[in-house]
Amino acid sequence: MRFSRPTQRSVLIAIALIPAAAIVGLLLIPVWVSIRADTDAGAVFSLRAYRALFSDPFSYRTLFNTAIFCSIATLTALSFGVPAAWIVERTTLPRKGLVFTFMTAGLLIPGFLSAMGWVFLLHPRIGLVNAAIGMVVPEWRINIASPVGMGFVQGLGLAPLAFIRTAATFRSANPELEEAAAVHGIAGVRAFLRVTLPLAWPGILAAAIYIVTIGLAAFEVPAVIGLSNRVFTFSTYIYTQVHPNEGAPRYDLAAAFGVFVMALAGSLSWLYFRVLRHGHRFAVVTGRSYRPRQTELGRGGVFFAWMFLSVYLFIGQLLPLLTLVWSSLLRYFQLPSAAAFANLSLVNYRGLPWPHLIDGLKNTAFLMAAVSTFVLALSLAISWIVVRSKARGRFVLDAVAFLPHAVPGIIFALSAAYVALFVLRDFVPIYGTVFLLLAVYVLERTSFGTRMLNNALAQIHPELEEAGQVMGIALFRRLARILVPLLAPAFLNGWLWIALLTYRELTIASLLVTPDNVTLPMVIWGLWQSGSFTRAAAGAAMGLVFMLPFVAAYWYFGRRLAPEGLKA
Amino acid sequence: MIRVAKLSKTYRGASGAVHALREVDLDVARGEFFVLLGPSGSGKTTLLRSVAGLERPDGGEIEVGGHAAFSSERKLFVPAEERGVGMVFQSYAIWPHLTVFENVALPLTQGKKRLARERVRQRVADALKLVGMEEYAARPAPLLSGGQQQRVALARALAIDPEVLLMDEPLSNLDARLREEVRVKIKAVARELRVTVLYVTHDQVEAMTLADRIAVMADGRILQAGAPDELYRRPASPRVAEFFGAINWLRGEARGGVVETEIGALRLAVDGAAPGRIVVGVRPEDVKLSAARAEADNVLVGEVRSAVFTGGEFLYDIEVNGKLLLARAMSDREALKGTVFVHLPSARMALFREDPS
Repeated sequence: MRFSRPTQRSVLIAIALIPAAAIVGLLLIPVWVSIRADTDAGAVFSLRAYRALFSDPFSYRTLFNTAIFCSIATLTALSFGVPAAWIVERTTLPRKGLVFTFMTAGLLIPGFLSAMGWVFLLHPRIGLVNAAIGMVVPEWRINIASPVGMGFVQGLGLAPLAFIRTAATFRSANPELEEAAAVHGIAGVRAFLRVTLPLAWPGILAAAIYIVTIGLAAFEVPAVIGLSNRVFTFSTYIYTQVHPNEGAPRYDLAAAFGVFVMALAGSLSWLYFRVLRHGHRFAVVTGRSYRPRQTELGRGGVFFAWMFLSVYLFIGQLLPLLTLVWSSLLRYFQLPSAAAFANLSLVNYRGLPWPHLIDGLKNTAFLMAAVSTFVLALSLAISWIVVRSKARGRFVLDAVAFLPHAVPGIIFALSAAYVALFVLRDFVPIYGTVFLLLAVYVLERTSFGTRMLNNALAQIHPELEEAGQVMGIALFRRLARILVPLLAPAFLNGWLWIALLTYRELTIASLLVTPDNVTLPMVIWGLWQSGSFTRAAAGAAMGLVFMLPFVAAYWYFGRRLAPEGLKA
Repeated sequence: MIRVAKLSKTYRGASGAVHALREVDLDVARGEFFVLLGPSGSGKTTLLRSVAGLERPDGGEIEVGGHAAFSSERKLFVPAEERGVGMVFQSYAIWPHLTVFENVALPLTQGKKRLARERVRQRVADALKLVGMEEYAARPAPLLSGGQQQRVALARALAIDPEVLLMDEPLSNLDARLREEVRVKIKAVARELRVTVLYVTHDQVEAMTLADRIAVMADGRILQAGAPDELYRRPASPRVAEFFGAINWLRGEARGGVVETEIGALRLAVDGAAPGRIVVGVRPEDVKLSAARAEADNVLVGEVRSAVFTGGEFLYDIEVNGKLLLARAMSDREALKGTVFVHLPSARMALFREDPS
């Protein structure tokens, strides 16, 4: 007799359900925290937190700041990213492969390092550019520590994302639609306005919504520039409520604001998918691949295109990092001059808290390896169920796995901190350990891992697996012997990418790191927060140095476009 | 060897339910080469995949090699990896990260029955020899041509020594010349090993040349099952008849041994045709043309409207009493022109009662 016993498939489903349940749990925590109040008679249901939140002018100022910050960031990102994407995909610009390389590199530059560089450039008092302006118009200053200023810096960081998102749109544009226009006498600017742009519009709009969602959640730039100047956006508001300068942490207020923003982010994601679906109506589905029509660039065109791209690469990527390195070599900040060059020294590097830094580096290295490995293992389980199995509710599983992508990371950190401190404290003392960071990073990055593996799996013919199945190879052996080898390039690419994102992670760490589980970005940020800017710059420069081998490895192995669905 | 009873499967999608299988019954004897023939969407692939265990039917029963593999009543579903059948896929499904040898060996080392290394080597060598690929054992799979991949897929399926071999349109991705070559190979191998084959195709020539028996499928049902010549000569319905190539349809009214058709009265081979509306089917090769009047029943006068030379034969369009008939004749003589005599042998006519609709 043969029976169907508990199959390997159900084991796999169980593995996939663990992170899914944890994600749902972490998202429900803020709701729960925000609607309860402790009284003498125990916990009761209460909307006190919401009342307190919405009666405080500070909340409205934060919302207003967030809105300005977000809009400026999105506008900046699109005005650099979209033209760059068009130039690369739809013109005959020579050597444009370079642009892809630099844009992908831009995604890897830690936002808090660029933000530090920008403070050195545009600080009202010590900023390089402000000093230069001051020589011409003594009363004039650009204030980086404003929602507009921070939005600009954030936007420069998000431009590569705008680039990659819209490049796909321009690339998949069917040339026949434009050729049809040309044949019927519509050409040049009119064809661009009447055909090209309307066809690309859903893609651009979707990219814009995507960037707004990320801007809404942004922590690093507002934390580096805004916190010390008391200019708050959503994420830094939550951070201050949990780590206030004075008084007790206000988890209830943070949670209430978190719930509000989750609803906002949820609606944005819904809008995003609606726009994408709308956009797909225009897609002419054909099996054959085609090269989009490319606009001939004359000598002048090539010059302007490279000018535009160079300006972005310089301002958006090189300038802040160069400034950072320059600053790290100075005792106190000064403009480049003969005297300044004479004063260059490594004193900031010698003054770094090396034991602390090494601790951070060790933890970060452990996290990079462990997070990438766990994310890929769990993502394989989830993606296989979503893409391959016919299990009921697999689309719900997929949506849940995607949630951390849509919900700001600081909310996950808030929930995790709360759970670790108040729920798990007595039986799983995980707070203050690197394992808490590991768990939350893994949940956060599984959204990326599943997006990537969903795409990769969809490109592997199901019959390759079915052939093994029919000929007697059980599920886990099929995964190990057939799927994993076939997915190896995607795995390697994804592993390095997740490792690099883990290396630069500051948002979640900001709420979960204690002196016992410090990470490298937290050491650097800590130096910055303590006011020793030039020493922080030295730490940041070291951070860049440590990162180089990984970036090199990523380039060497994963010479491909940054994976779909990544989140800076 | 394969027994399928009352098998049904419905796919429910956003655009409504699709009945892929409607209470299908099937019996394949040991050693038989059985072909499922039908257009896409007829349910033939769903039936094959259900036998393999890759689809889970909604109702009915499946037995493979004398063992129950699926029964809705007993809530039994033996997963594919436990059924021990061999299968050749439409895409070949050759694992691209392995060599030819490793492709054939993987089911033997990772599958249900794991063999010792020496036995694996022997089995793989035998299987590759059977399909004439023994020289290519060390070659990485991506370096194989389509025909070679096809043969490796066959070797891999046979290496596990299955009682039942399932083949899902294995020739559809090959070009025409190669197709014929591989077809002969498949038939020879199947006969040599006496393996029971269930083979899916939409190509009637493939079905006719390979099969001991054919089941014609449409809309999730088996329309007719039988030996190739039986299906060709005595189709059970106009639909089955149309499946095996072009056919001329003549509508008419039967009266005794004669049917009044749109091109004239035709004498039937049997007297017993019940009176009423019927449809007469005549294959193009059964439309006999001659310049001189033949001494026989059912000779009509027609006009050649077009003659197309296709190499071995001529295809004619003949107008008979206002209706065009398709005729096919050997091209050993010159093409006929002008007025011709059209002979429709009554023994070669297929009669069907016209649907009330």
